[in-house]
Amino acid sequence: MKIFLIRVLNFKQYYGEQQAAISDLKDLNITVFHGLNGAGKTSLFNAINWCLYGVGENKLGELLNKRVLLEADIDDEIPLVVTVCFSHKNEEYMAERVIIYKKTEKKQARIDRKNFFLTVTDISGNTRTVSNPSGKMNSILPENVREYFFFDGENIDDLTRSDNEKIENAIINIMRLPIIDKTYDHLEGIANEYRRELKRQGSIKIGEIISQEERLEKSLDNKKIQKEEIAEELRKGKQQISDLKKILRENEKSRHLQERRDELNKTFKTFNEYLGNLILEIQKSVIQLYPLFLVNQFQSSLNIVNQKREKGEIPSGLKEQFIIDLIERDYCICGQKISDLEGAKDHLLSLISNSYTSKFEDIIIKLPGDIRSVNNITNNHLNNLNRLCKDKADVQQKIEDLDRQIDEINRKLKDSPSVDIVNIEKKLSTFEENQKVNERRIERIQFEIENLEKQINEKIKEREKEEKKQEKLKLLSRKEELARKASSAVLKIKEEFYEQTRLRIEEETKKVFLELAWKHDQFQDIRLDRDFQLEVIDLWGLPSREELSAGERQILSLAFICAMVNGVKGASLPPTKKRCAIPLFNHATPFKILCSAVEQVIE
Amino acid sequence: MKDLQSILLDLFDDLDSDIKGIVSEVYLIEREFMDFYKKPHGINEKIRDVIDKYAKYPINGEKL
Repeated sequence: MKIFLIRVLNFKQYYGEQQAAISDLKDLNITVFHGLNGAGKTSLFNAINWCLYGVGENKLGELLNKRVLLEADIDDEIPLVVTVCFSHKNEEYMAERVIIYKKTEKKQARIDRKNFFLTVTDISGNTRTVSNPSGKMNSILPENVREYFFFDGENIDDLTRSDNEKIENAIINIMRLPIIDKTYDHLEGIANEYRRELKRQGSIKIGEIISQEERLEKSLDNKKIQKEEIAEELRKGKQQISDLKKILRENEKSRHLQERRDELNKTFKTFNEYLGNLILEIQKSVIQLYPLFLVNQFQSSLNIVNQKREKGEIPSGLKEQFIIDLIERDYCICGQKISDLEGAKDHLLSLISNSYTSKFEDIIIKLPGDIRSVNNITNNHLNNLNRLCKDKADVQQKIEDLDRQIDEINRKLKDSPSVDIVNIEKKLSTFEENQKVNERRIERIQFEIENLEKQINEKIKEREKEEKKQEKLKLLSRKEELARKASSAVLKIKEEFYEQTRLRIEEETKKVFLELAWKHDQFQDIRLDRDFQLEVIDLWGLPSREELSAGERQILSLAFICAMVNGVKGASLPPTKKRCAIPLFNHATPFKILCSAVEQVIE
Repeated sequence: MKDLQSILLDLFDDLDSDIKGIVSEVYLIEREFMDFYKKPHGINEKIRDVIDKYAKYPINGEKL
């Protein structure tokens, strides 16, 4: 359908007859209506919709031009006409919607009569009036898909809002999928009617076989539903696995960095613990070095002891027990009897009283040795402390290095998306496990389905054998078989066509969206799932349709509409100057981004 | 690139001639009813006629 002429008579602000031609040139195939606010751009858009579909009669306010109304006399008939001429499949059409008003008072008029005409001129130049103009218009461009071809730019982002079913409806209606659905439903219903008739007219045995067939078919249907559910899970799982793998691939660099950081953090922790232990050991070692502070006192003590020795105040070599033994034996070591020597015993006794206890004497004798020993031990502790301090310095240096390396990695990771790689890998592993389970389940169900189909075929053969015995059932049986086969064929076509439609629209929407979106690098994918739910996948692999800005939604809507139109037309994207993807676009959006997008499409 | 309606027709082409005839005719009936009539009154009769025709006069096979 290509519009080439619009003519309005007394419609809204269009006084009298006005007409606009739309370019049908191959190279200049875009027509732009440019005007100030209130000039009548939207009215022209509304005039087309009103003419072709009668849309907006109750919503557009008064349709009749006010100046014409004021100028007319009471009881005058005032025509309001919009004519749209278009070509479609080598034929030219003229659609005309008319309202004849009759002026009743100074500023009022009532509708006297209204009509809608559609005339068609074929390639030979023969013109005829279409008897069911609304039906014909509907067959050319169904009313329920009108808004996707004549769309209002101001509300374009509504189409891709996440809280409505417009996308799903648009695909279903534009691709005329309900026709296939209805074809299947009716054929299936008629096949069942034939079978019921066979059951009624046939023998008891045929009735029994049909009942068995029905039971088997019911089980088969249930199995197919189960299979489809698992298949859907598998598809989703496959998609999720693919998404996760993509994230992992894209974050390979981050993953290495994260692994390196984890490793460094581990080493950092170990070194910190080691440093803590070193500090404890240093503390212990320092405590053991207290003799260092007593070196002077030790030396003073040694000096005092030596002086005392020199003065004889501390007897060296004479011990208390030795003197006691001498007195008890009463002989001196020279052989003289002590008691014979005058005053000798008293002298010895005085030595005892002047001598130190054996313990003290031992201490005094050992003191120099002990002090040397303490010095040696202290030196050992000192060496140990030096070693510990050196170790501590080394560890601190290593900790500083590690800290710097971790900081560097953190800085690099800041520039990359913060993706929890470990968690994603865990998820991936779970999904892969689930996939395996589902694959096994689907194999089992497929086996059961094949088994049921085999049983049904056996029943059908059995029934045919019985039916042959009854000649009158032959035609009925054939009809049932044809209806059944036709409905099965439609079901297969439906599944295949739905899938092809989905893939095509998904691919085309993605191409256009990524081409038009300014921040296209922020989005990695557009997906249309099997329920025709459109989703935008962001850079991180997450659904983000709900987060799109109004401008991005406009772009998405535009991309989707282009995809739909091209799906119908079979055009190949990106849209070129020679083939513009946009049908008729009332562009009055306040968003500059869309202006740019449209300009790009036009370019 | 083929448009989706052409893809749909290709899918029809893969069918056996009798079934293809029935499916195509029924599809056209459905489209006509969807475009031109508000309610599908009488559509089943039309479909039955199509099936009856192919059952009695199959393209490939013995006439009944």
